[in-house]
Amino acid sequence: MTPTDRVHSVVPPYLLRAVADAPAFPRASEAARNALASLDTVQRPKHDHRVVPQGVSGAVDRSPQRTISDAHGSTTLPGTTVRHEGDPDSGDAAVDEAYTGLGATHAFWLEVFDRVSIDGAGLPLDATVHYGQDYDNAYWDGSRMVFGDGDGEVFNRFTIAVDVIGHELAHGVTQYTADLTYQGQSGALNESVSDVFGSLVAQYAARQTAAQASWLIGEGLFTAAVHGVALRSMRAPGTAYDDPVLGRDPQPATMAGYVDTTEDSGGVHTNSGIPNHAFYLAATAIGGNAWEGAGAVWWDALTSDAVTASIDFAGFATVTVDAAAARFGAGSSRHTAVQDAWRSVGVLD
Amino acid sequence: MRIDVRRTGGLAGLSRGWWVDTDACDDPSGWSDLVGALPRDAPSAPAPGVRDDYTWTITVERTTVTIPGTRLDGPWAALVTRVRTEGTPT
Repeated sequence: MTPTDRVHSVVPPYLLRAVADAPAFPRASEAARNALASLDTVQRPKHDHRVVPQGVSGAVDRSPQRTISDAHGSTTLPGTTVRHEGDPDSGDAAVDEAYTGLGATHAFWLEVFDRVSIDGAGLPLDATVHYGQDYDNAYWDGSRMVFGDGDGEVFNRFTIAVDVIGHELAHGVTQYTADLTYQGQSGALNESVSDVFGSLVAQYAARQTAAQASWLIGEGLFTAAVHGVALRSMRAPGTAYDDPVLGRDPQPATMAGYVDTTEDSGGVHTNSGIPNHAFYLAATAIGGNAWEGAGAVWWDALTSDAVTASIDFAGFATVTVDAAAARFGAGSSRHTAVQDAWRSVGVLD
Repeated sequence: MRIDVRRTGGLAGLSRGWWVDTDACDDPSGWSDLVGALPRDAPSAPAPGVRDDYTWTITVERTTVTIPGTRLDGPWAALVTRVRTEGTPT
């Protein structure tokens, strides 16, 4: 049975599990265990068009199809092609880190969620490095990733952190699924989804459990001159840096600290700390590998039609709670962990 | 005249700013030429789907424009570069 041919049970899997665990009904519980074993119990996300685009016919290329280009310090895109899929290391650190990071991201989506590239239909992965002069940034332009080299005083090159590469590509995944509007709370959710899946790409590549992960975003980006460890912390928003020049990490961990601003599209990189922290709490409460617990729930939410482009924190939280119930059973410890996480950050009552 | 430049957004979400009082500069007429070359309009809308770009907010006297980083070029970029180079950090 391929993942696209999942059998749908009349009895929902969480009910089968409850019966399977019931000591008072040994025949029924054995029957339920047999039924569960015959099902692919990972329920298919309800809205297939977000999982695989409509109108895709023929075989999908499941290889990463990477192309790395060099902008040579200009802001002209795409730049000159310097490494194709399958080429050996170039010797240029930014080129090779981008190539490896694109591969790690592709492998994560394919192996964890059976998603073929960011659009689910084998979209080639493109990146441009050496963009601009002293460019302290990386961005997603709607179809490729673009990386600066940093200034060498405050920032290193932006390809140095695989979670940053995962973060940028996750903007593409969001674009093809929930397409969260990049403003206000939906924008902060868009940013948080990129931090979540960027972090999961790094955790998966290192085979780290939720307990082993650093839960930092952009570790290694700051030079040694900066008093800080990363751009952001999902474990402890607001603690990633406190530097005389850069200032202090402004992220809130709870709704009590929500920042009302017109800058940064309504503070999308700041208020993302709140849903980030909810994910961290859920993932660590559930334990094991974060991509299998909270990660699967967040993926269910992202691919659910209930997550509209302009959804707010409370709406998204509700979808994740419902998704956890659907995937793991209402009243299960994982369902409770997701609900408790959103309550802890003040998004749900 | 007072010119304020502010850069927000970007992957790191760091805000930075610079300002100049052109009357206090060595070359006020050079500054006037830069301002005079500014087009009436500024490209305020980001290209669709762009994420983690910078946003530049430029205030010349009492007029403020907002330009996505990926659209900052020509006379606006020249003004920003000069304010960053010669201005005071805010």
